[in-house]
Amino acid sequence: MPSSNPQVESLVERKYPHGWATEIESDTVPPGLNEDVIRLISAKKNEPDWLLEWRLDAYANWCKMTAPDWAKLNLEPIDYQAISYYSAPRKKPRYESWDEVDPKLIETYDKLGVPLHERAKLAGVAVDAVFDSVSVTTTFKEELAKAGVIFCSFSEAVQDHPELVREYLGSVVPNMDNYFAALNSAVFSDGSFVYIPRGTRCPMELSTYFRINALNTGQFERTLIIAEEGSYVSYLEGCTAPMRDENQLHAAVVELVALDDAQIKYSTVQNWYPGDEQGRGGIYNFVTKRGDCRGRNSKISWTQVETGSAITWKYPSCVLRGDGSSGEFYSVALTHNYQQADTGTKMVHLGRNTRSHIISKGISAGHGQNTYRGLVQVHKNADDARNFTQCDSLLIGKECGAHTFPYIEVKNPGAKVEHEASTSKISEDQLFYCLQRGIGEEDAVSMIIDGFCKEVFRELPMEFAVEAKKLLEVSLEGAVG
Amino acid sequence: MTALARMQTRPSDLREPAWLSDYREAQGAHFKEHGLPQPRLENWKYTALRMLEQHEFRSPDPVSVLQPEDLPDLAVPGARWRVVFVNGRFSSALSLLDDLPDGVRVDSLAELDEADLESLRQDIVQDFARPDEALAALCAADAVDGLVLRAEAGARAEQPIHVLHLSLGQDGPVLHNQRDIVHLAAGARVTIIEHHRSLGGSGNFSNRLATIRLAENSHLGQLRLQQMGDPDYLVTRQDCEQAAGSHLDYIGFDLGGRLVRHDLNCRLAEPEAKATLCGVYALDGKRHVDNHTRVDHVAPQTASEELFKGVLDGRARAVFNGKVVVHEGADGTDAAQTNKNLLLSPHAEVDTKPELVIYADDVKCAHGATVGQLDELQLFYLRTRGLPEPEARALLTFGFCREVVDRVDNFDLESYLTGQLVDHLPAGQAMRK
Amino acid sequence: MLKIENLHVEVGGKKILKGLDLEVAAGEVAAIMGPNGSGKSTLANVIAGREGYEVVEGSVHYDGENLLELDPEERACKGVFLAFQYPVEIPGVNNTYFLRSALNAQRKARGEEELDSMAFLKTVRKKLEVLHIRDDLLHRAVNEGFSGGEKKRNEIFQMAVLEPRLAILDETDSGLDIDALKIVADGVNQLRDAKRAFVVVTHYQRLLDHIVPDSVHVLSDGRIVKSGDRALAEKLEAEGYAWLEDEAAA
Repeated sequence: MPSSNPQVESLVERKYPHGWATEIESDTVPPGLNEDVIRLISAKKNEPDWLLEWRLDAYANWCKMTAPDWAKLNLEPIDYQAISYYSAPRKKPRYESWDEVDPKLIETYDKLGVPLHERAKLAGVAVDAVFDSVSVTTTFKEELAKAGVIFCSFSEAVQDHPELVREYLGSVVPNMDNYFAALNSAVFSDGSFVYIPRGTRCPMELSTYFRINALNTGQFERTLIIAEEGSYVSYLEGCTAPMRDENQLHAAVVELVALDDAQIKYSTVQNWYPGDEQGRGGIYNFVTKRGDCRGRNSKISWTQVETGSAITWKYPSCVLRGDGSSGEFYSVALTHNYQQADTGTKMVHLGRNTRSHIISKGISAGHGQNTYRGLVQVHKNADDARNFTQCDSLLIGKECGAHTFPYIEVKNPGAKVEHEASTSKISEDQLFYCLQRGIGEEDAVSMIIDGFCKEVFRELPMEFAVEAKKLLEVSLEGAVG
Repeated sequence: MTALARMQTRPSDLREPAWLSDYREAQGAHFKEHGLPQPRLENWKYTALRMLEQHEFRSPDPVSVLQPEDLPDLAVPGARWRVVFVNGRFSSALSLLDDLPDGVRVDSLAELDEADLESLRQDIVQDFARPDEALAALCAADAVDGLVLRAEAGARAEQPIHVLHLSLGQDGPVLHNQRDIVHLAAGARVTIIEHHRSLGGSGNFSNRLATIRLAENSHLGQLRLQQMGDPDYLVTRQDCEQAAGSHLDYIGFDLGGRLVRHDLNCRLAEPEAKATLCGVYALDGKRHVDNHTRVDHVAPQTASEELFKGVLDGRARAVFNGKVVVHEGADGTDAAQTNKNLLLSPHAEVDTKPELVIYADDVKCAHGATVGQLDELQLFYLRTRGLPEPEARALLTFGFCREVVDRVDNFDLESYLTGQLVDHLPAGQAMRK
Repeated sequence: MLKIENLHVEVGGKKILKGLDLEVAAGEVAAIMGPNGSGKSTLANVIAGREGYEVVEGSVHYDGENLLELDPEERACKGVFLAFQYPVEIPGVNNTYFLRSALNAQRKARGEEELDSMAFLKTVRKKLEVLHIRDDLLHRAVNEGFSGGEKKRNEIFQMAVLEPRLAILDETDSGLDIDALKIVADGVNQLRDAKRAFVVVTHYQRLLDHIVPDSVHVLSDGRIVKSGDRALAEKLEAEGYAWLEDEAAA
């Protein structure tokens, strides 16, 4: 390995760039969780009764559950009564027009590189910005409406498209699915809603930008994407949070539904605050993401670049129900300092001729712990199912860990399932070769890492791929030397 | 509490040192506390032991009634010595132990004197307190006999020792526990063929625990041929502690039994220690075979290699769980692990879980698992050369297992094991000419 | 010996052969030439009985018998041999064992006595020598880790051992250097006699310098568009296939 290099070290002591907080007047409910808090959230959002019942049912389920301890995570027990379950900027949860948006918020998103202002909007990308518990604004709404695409905050969807929400909410991730999904179902505040009508190719990338700001709040957003027969959508999500010494909880649920011949591509660049060099603070990121390939020949593809959060616990999954449907999972997870990531996917083959493809790249540095945990399940009737899985781990330094726990369950003799995994460090030969050609150590390392992640990066939309690469470089600074 | 959890197979009048009876009490208490491991325990996720609860097991008769002439021909070619255990008890009448090589000793655990027992105390008094090792606790509490194999420094057995474990019915299913200890001193080299057979009986449960200690540069070859009867149960666990340069070379053939579980644990405690764990399972009917391996790379420059291949027909189910743990500081670890399965029937099932847990960066670790079926193109190729389809299938199936069989480096044994395996493969008879 | 009439074949719903006629007599070496994608390999595979090649119309008779009704192994036992364009790797299956099983299956089908290992090895060694193939080939798994040339040579070696009556060589010359090409040609020439027939499928005329064909047939778009003698192959080598299309268009 490269020897200690003080120049490199001093060069790389850059910090988490999104660690500032926004001073903004907010409407935050007092910490604590009980039925009344849930009623309050539901009332603030003017929800129909069925939704309140659904939340209360989820809460009752959650009360009966215990926090999972199987993930290889090292965390302090979470005090759920110390968290505030609702925080919104200003008293008014939604802005009627652009002029009403608090300039501080616009500034916040500008600083994050996500311009919301009409004039400076990201070209070709429609953005839904979620600040703490509520959606602030959604861009390009009218253009999308022309194509018949619904892209709005979850709260708006509850008001404007209750029949769609009622039909699909919880149909992929039931409200008692797991501990954190149940919690989310009880208290979720906002999120994004996407509906792509039959035969429509969504004219632009859709994107949600999540920002946790308030102190001692949790963020519990809910995303629901429905792709009707023969439609296509590409959706991106990005996340950041201020630097705070306390751990903050983020427990989201994402549900995707793809009907016949529909295709959903879901990309995530997750950069929640990871905590400091000593492992203080950082976001607990416990997320349930699942896609249901309900229709024939439907396809759901998950791509994720996970560099943030103190702890990540997430397994974007595909239920391959429709005959000929396919699921993909491409992941880069990086842990540095004291970060812990436990991530992977589940591919549940139910239909005939279903396909799944898994590429997972884990990078561990510092004291980081990186775990791939995956399940490939081929059920009795899933004739001719195919899966290919590749999990590679790269270790940088002596104190980190890389772990692989694949579960493969096959009940059909027509299935072909292949799993491969390897673990390595950056080889001295590779490094020396680069150095000998005059490439600096940092550059060489980032080049090698970039190569290691290439199969995943190329699945990301262009703008995100560039950001992801940079993110990886920043996150790894100080790891080598 | 189930019938099993209430029963105690050890005689109440054992005359033993106090430390040993105390130890048995403690382990018995662990088992009573936890009972049979349940599927909610991660290590038993795919292997349910419920069916064991349906039986009222009996304790084995203390004295074997078998005479050498009662034995069918169970000889293994090339094995010169034979140690026989009947329902967990050593049978000197059936064993052939003349002219063991210098420095190699084979004893019955039950017949050791107090001083000798004391010398093995450290190996015996392992604590099995976790719920997922309750069956080991049961064995530790109740096993009164077992193989004690010791080789002095530099001792060599040029030919393998055949260790035959017979399971015998006695008007109902029997539970027998057995505890084995193997010690190889520096540079010793021994190969054993551990052979599990049933002679009648219905639903015997054989529960076994082995402690193996390999000193510097010693080499233990361990071939396991498991041919239990259709209704029988076998659970084995072995813990192998390895010193510098030692090598455990394990090859298992699982061809029988109703429910079989092996836990193979290796601790590579010093540099250059190596564990090779290979296995073939060819299962039909309702057989269930579960191989759990765990290799701990504790010291730097240690190596492990695992290769398990299985063929599943009928309603058979195979489980493979391989865990490689590379501890902090175990730089230069080289670990490779492979599990491949052929699924031949719509009712068969495979559950495989190759795990890596790594806390060092200078390592080379890889694992792979596949589940699939015979390749149609290969089948066609063979048929264009004139091979009838059943024979072509058998040949390809055997070819699939071949990689493991080839690991047996003794020619007589390889042919013998090939024969046993081929007889057991679907349409294997077609090949046997 | 081989009579193909109006053969139409589909692969995965796509029409590949579209009314192919071909007759090969005992003692004859017939060369099938044609551009890529004309259906040459399909023809070879259909004769050998590979699954997935659906005969929608037409017939293939071999010694008066309907070949299409037979399983691949039955065809083999009757003396039909296919030298694969891409010989299949079969890990774990020893070459000697494989070949002896094949030979004995064929002998049994013909009512001949099966060969024991000693007798078999003697036969095989002789063939190896004649073909200048090293005998370490016998100890390896079928085609596993073989180079392209070794695989092709192994096909010819198998042919020499099995002594088929009708051998189809599917682009056996592709990717071979001149020495390997000579071994392949030797293998064929040594077997040539009045009772055997060969169908040599090739893209180039090169192989035909060493295996002199009795007839040359040009396959294009699923049909034999021109037949002739050796001179036709030379014309194709010199002028390519384009003139044929022009001729067809005219």
